Formats: sequence, C-alpha cells, structure tokens
Amino acid sequence: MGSYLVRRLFWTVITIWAILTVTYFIAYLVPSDPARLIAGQHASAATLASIRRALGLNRPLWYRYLVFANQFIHGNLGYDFIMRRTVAGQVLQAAPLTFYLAVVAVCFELIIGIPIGIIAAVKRYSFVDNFLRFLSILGISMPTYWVGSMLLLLVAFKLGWLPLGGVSASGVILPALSVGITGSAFYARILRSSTLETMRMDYVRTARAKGAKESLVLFKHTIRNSLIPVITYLGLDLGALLGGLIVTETIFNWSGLGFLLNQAIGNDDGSLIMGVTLFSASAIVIMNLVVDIVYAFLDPRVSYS
Amino acid sequence: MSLPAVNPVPTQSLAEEQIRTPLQTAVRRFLKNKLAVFGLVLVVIMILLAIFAPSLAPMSPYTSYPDGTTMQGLPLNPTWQWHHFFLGTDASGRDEMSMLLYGTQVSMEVGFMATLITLVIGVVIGLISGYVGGMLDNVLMRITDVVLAFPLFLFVILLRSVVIHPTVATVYEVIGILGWAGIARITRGQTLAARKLEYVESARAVGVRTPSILFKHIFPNIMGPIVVYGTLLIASNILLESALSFLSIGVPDPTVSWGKMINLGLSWYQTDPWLIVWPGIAIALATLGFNLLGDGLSDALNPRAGE
Repeated sequence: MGSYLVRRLFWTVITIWAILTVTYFIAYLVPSDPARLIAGQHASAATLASIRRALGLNRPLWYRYLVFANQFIHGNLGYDFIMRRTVAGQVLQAAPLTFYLAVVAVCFELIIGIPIGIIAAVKRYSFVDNFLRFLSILGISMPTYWVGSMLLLLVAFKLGWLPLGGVSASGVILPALSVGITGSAFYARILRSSTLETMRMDYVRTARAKGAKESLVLFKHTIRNSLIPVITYLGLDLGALLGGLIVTETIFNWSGLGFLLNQAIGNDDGSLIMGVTLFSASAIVIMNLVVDIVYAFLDPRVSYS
Repeated sequence: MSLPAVNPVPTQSLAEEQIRTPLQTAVRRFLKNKLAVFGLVLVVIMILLAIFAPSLAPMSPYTSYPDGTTMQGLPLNPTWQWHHFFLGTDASGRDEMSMLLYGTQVSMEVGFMATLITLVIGVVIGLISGYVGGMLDNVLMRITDVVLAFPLFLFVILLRSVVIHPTVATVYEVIGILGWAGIARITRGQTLAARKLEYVESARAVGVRTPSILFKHIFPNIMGPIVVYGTLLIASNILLESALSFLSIGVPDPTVSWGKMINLGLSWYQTDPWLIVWPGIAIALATLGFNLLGDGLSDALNPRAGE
C-alpha cells in the first residue's frame, strides 16, 4: 500500500510537470512572437517592446522555462494583460464556482444514469433495454452547450421556471442539468454491463436460491456490488466533465473557470488562457489521484503491485 | 461443389452456419441490428450531403441577402419556400438552410481528418510499443499514460488559440495531434496478443522484416477494434469541432460551421429560437449516426456478442 501511494504520487508529479512543460512550449514557442500573443494582434510597437522586456525574452529559453516553472511552484501564474490582475487570483476566485457546479452536475449524472442503467440491466435484451440504449447514445450525441441552450430557451425563457443565467442558488440547476443529461449516458452503460456481470455471480444465485425476494436480491446483493465501476468512472469523468462545464458556463453566465477561459479567448489573453489551462489540468490530475487513493482504501481487491 | 461428406453434419442449416467466414458473420450480425443500420444510413446521408452541398444548397451560405432580414434588421422566420429562405435567415441575412447544408462539410472534414491523424499516430505508437516491447514499450506507455491524463479539450483550446491565422486544417490538426493516447493503448494491447500468434511467429522465423510484419501481418488482424474506436472518435471529434466553433475558436470566417451558427443564434433565442434549434439537430444527427454505427460495429465484430 505504501509503495503504491509513493508510485502514484510520483506519477502525479511527473504528469503535472509534463502539463506545465507542454503548456509552456505551446504558449511560448509555437507563435513567432509571444509578446504579440499576449498583447493581442493590435498592440503598438512600444507595448510589444515593453512586454518583451517584462518577459525577459532576451534571456535564453531554458532560463525562461525555469523561471516560469519556479513561479508555478510558488503559485504565481503571472498577470493577465487586459486588467493587469494576477491570474492566480482570478483563477482561485472562479474555481469554487466551477467545483460547485461540477458537484451538482455529477449528482444529476448519477440521478439520471443509475436508474437507466439498472432498468436496462433488469430488462436486458428487451425493447425497453434497446430503447434506453438508443436514448443513451442520443444523450452522448448531443452537444452539451446545445442541450444547455435548449434548456435556457424552454425552461428558463418560455416557462420562466428558472433564472436565465448568473450565479444564484437556483441558477445552478440548468447548467448542471445540461451536463447531467449528456454525461449520464456513460454511467448508465457502465452500470448496465456491470450489473449484468454481477447477476451471473454465485452469491447472487445463492441469495435467490435461499428464496430471497427479487427486489432484495437486486438492491442488496447485485447493485451494491455493481456500483464499483461507477465510482472508478467518476475519476475518469473529470476531464470530460470539465470540457462540458467550459461551454455550459458561458451560456448561463456562470462565472467559473469556463466563463473566465471564454473571456480570455475573446480578449486574446494568452496569459489567462494558459493560467486557466494549467490550473484546471493540474486540478484534474490531483483529483484523479484522490479518487484513486480513496478507491484503494475502499476496495481491498485493488492490487498495489 | 458440395462439402466432402467425411464428417456428416446433422442438418442443412448447421452446415450453412459453419461455412460462413468471420466477415460474413459480422455483416449478418450488423444487418440484424436495426439501430446500427440506422446509424449507417445517417452516416451515408451526411457524407452525401457534404459532397453535394454546393449543388443542393438553394442559395449561397456566404451572402448576406438584402431581403434576408426584416425592416428592423431581424432574422426572417422560415418561409418554407425552398429557393427563398426555406428555414429563415440568421441575423446577417444569410440563408439558414444553405448554411446548414454547407455546415455538413466542415463537420465531416474535421471529423474524418482529425480521426485519421489520431489513428495514424496512435496506431504506429501502439504497434511499435506492443511489438518491440521491453524498455521502449515501457517508455512509450508511460508517456501515453501522462498524455491520457491531459484534459483534451483544454489543450485543444490552448493549442488552437495560439494559431494566429487558422484554417479548417488547423482545427483538425490540433484535434488530431492531441488525441492519440487512447488508441495507442488499445493498439498496444491488441498487438501484444497478436504477436504471439503462430503465423506472426512463422513470418518472423522466415525473416520477414519488422515493418512488414507490423503493417502486413499484425495490423490487418487487429483492425476490428481500431475501426470501432475510429468510428466513435469521428463522433466525438464532430462534437469537439462544434464546441470550438461555438467558443469562436473553431474554423475561421467565412467558413460555415454548425457550432458557430448556434453561437450566433444564441443572441436571438428570445425572438428566433429556430436559429439554435436547426444546427443543434444537425450536429446531434451527424454524431448519432457515427455513434450508432460504431456501437453496431463493436457488437458485430465482437465474437462474444449475441449470447
């Protein structure tokens, strides 16, 4: 167990280092002039020159990279180039909102996905199963931001049940639901196949042979065990979840990381784009680590070798 | 010519069952799956629409028609007249129907090209890693693990946002270059299994060169999972392109894209909701087609399916 944790931690650090390096090289090497990337395409020559000085572009590449990495380790992501505020400050302000939205969204994914998965498994190979399968595939085929737009149009605008956007207690429902509708399909499919697998297990047959009621067999013996892959998938889902959140936040003016990123894109603010990417990617990698560790404690069958 | 009666089979139907090649079995199983066939039909329609969009489109998708907006400068509602703003117009007076048809081109081009790039990179890495093994395999798979942990969408946005003069090719190159880790893993696993097969060992024994073993002997044998993965990848790449275009960092103007149409339409949802409804349905249908097709192929090619 101890060596598993150490190894897992080591690879997390390596991954974050790789993310840092790739982000750095994408942002500062691909364009011919980083100053122009940061200042935007309409900056004056004087502005460009001052930014080049500020960035230390006269220094060798390896030196600049080390400075950048050192700043990152100390939680410094630089300044955005429109408002001149610290990127780290803005990111930290936006992150809790995205995290809150993500948690609600995952709840919706599970609330929608788990019943569908169980029903599909119980009614396996029937019309209902096929229909739910079609619904699931339809779910993953719709763009999250389009589902969001339609919810905005129908539920918020036409029916007026929920706010059109902004951060508020009820404002979280629609963006979270858009992510939930499209993301639930994966959970439904994983749960269907793991439930089918569990149903073939000896202990389920034993429970049934003892004369346990079918509902008891299903809920106590089968589903409890078939939920394990769902937990694993929660960890893997984080990246996809964030992708969905980025576009959904924009639609509902939910001022989280996606909203910030979209503003940065609109303003051509390379420094802010890079900061949000670095922070979110690192956060996902660390969350994955946490999920893995929790999982290793929960499930004694995980091999640590 | 009939089968030699050395080992008489009980019934005629069983005999027919036995002489079917794996491919025939797969095709048969695929055709029995109604959803899969529906997916195939959708995909074929989308490809045809993309190819013939210029001749099918009733008007120009790039022209802002002077009579394309109301006196107040608002988008037109659907007229249901094919050559006169059938599905209405957008806020700049462009014909919605023609834009929808041309949007198919970008979706298909990005969907197929990005997937092709991803598959080429991923399959080559997976084949080498699985076949050569040892230290190289270790290094390649560790790198793959790290890349797999990258949130794809963020890095696509980052890479795309540093390109100052983007084209349609920029979009599919960016998507294609970053997504190879998943298929590299799958290919490696399949290659590991195929490497131990007798015909591969005998090919090696008679001195066939490694590239030839990899691409002539192993690759055709492991194509099933790659085709399935590729088909599903086209679907997710279509979604990715539309999301990038929605965030206005997708294909550049004046190229028409469904995601961009939804982005523009969102400003008008209170008066002209159709502007976000049509392109959304188009994206969903295109993606649904590839997802159903991939799902059906996966079932048809899986020897354990249909139990």
